[in-house]
Amino acid sequence: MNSDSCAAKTPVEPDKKKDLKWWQTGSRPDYRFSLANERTFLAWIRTSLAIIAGAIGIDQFASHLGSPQLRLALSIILLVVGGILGGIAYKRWARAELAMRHQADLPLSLLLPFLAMFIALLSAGLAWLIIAFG
Amino acid sequence: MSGQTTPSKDPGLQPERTGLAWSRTGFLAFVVACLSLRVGLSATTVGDVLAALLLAALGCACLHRGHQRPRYSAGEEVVTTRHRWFLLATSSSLVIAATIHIAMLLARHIH
Repeated sequence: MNSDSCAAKTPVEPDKKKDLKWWQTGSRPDYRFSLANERTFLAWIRTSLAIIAGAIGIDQFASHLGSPQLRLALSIILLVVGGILGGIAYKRWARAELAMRHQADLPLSLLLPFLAMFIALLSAGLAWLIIAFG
Repeated sequence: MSGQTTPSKDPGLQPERTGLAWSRTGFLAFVVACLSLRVGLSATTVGDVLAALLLAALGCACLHRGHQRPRYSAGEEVVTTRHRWFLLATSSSLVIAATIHIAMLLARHIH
């Protein structure tokens, strides 16, 4: 048995609560919720991988798209967003896991509307570039 | 280990779905690793090749995890310390790969 399940089954003395890590506090959530949280994490990881792939694609396979500086800027913007999303994926997973351990509401995030807006603007910009330079 | 656990009886097939999610993440990591390798070989930059190796290792780890489906039998502890570290490593490798690509891109355009 690991320390996590011990934390869920045995009562913790108040003075020892401060020493517990966040993943040892509260009670163990239903395994199905944990698995659903894990799949959400993986979906964010795949989004991040797809954006990184897009950045490499613009750098390597779109030599006639705009100027070299524009392609460099687009690639770097996409790589930055992809890297940030990869990092945020873990943060989101940890926040949701903590909320589930304490039977709290799942945390709200502004990431989804921002990401949707970013992808919409990027698509429109790329479409314009392809029409203008293609 | 996995042979001793009983198969999941979850009607929602949660363990199977999670295993498949790991597998497709692994396949996508391999695709991005191939793209990174292409950058590394065409521009002869060691950094991009290293990023490709990192992503390929991530792909192998994800595929391995995808094949451990029976481990998630009903009631088994999911959130262990080792489990958390695996997710953290997955997340970190993407941040590292993206950072390497940015550095290599800037280095190539400056020269």
